[in-house]
Amino acid sequence: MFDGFESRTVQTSETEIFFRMAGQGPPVLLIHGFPQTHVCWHQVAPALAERYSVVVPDLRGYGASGKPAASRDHSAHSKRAMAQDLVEIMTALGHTRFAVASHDRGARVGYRMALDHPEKVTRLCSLDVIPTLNTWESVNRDRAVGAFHWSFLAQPAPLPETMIGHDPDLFYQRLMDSWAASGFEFDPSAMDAYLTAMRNPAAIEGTCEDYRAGAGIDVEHDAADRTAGRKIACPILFLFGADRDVGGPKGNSDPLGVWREWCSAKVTGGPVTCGHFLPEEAPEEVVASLIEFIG
Amino acid sequence: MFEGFEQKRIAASGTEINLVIGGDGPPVLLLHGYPETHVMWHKMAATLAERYTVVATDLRGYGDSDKPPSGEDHSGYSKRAMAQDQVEVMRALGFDRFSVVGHDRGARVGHRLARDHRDAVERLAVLDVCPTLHMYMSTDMDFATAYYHWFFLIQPFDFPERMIGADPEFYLRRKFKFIANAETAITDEAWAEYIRCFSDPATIHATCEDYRAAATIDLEHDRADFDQGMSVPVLALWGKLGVIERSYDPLAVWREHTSGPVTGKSLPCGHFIPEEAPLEALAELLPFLSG
Repeated sequence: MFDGFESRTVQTSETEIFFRMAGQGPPVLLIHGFPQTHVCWHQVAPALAERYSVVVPDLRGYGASGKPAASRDHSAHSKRAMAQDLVEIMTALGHTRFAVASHDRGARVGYRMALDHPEKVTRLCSLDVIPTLNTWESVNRDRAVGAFHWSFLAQPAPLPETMIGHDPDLFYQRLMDSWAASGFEFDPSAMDAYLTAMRNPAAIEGTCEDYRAGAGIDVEHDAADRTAGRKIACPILFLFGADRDVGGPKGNSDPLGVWREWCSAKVTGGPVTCGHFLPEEAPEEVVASLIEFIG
Repeated sequence: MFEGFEQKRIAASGTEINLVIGGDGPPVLLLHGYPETHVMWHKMAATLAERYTVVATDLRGYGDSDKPPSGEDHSGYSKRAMAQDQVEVMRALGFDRFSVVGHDRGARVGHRLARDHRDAVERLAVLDVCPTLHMYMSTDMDFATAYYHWFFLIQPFDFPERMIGADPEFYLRRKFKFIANAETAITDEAWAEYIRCFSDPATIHATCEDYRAAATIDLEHDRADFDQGMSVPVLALWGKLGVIERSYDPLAVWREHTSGPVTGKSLPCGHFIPEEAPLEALAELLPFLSG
């Protein structure tokens, strides 16, 4: 995995970020989701590195990156703070403007980055995510069942941390299996990397804090942007899994329309025949779509 | 606790039910909620027993009642099945008609009992609930996060069972922080009973099945007879610090379900009314039960 990639850790203003990088050409930042690490891009990143400078980090709180202490208002795990880390590592690498492809929680960081740093993000690809505010606004019984982890992980510490910590593999493997299309099998070494990373109590806490921020301060940031009429200025490519049993944006009658509310540029995309984990379930389609989108 | 009460086990057609009975007068059935047992009534039972024959049971799956299998469709823990047990127990004790006071899950069983056995229920008091159908159908962000356990406990077997079972005492202790800081209201003696009962893996599984039924077969039952309203008088009490107060108009919601008089109010407490505010609850219950 990641043959020919260089591994680095860079200090940012609030934590340190681990990432891998390879390739030459226009810069592309790939942001993973929950409960994963940069490893989720193990098939997409090498293909993109043939024509782009690819940077593949672990988010703060995840994988090999720093695990900042929880803050009372969960701002330490806001998507704003997570986006700031990644802007800083890209700046440190000399990439002043770059494209972003992002999945799951990473896509929440990605769209927050596009809103907070419009001068940095040239293009934004969201995989299987609509904005947090819209997701909460569309909660109903079925969605709350399908995405029970949103409300469970947002419970006050240490409820979810303790319950997950007794058997992290049970919790995280069950979630990943339930979100993939039935019959899909993760690459064993990738799954091993995810489960190994999530056995770290600091990662369990960091990811719970990610969701607590997602049930609070991230929603406030979204609402403030909506009220102020701030929009994402770059084009958006939105791909989502069509074969997901529970949760996910496919249940929304017009997920592309949701993104159009948030974007003043062109929004393209649509369903892909797979579950939630597009970078691993449909890597060739993701690569082809990204190359067409980024140019 | 429960001095002067007699403990019994009575075989219903579906399972065997544990209960305590005491007092004299018209019969009143007390139904506990999650994750408790009949012990939750220990601060109210003696006062009620001065005027009523009080029967406080453990629901099937809970406490020292038996834990029958649930079945693929969760019908073993439908509120219909749980209510049937209670009607049969009361009949075995010689009571064809009685009043029901239910808290939490017990109030959901009481609601179903009053719909399925209309001649059996004299009066119905429901503590800190709105009807299941209404609560599920109005799910939003606030409800999903405040009542996360409605969505967690119904996940497929045996995921929640294993997560809870790894440390039932931790889970139970956190539950009593639910809504208000009710932990201080739970006496040591009651706590010892709750943890004893909830440490049984069969209880953890049965109580998950109670919630799985509530998300599936109970909703079917509720939809099927929604239009056939009850006529029983209803007293609704709820905690001022909780979700019922914040999110619903409970008196209006219960009026959609019965043509009988609906009265009630919020009490100065969280979710665990019988243990947090027993005197305030009695002050409302006694006049209601006497009619």
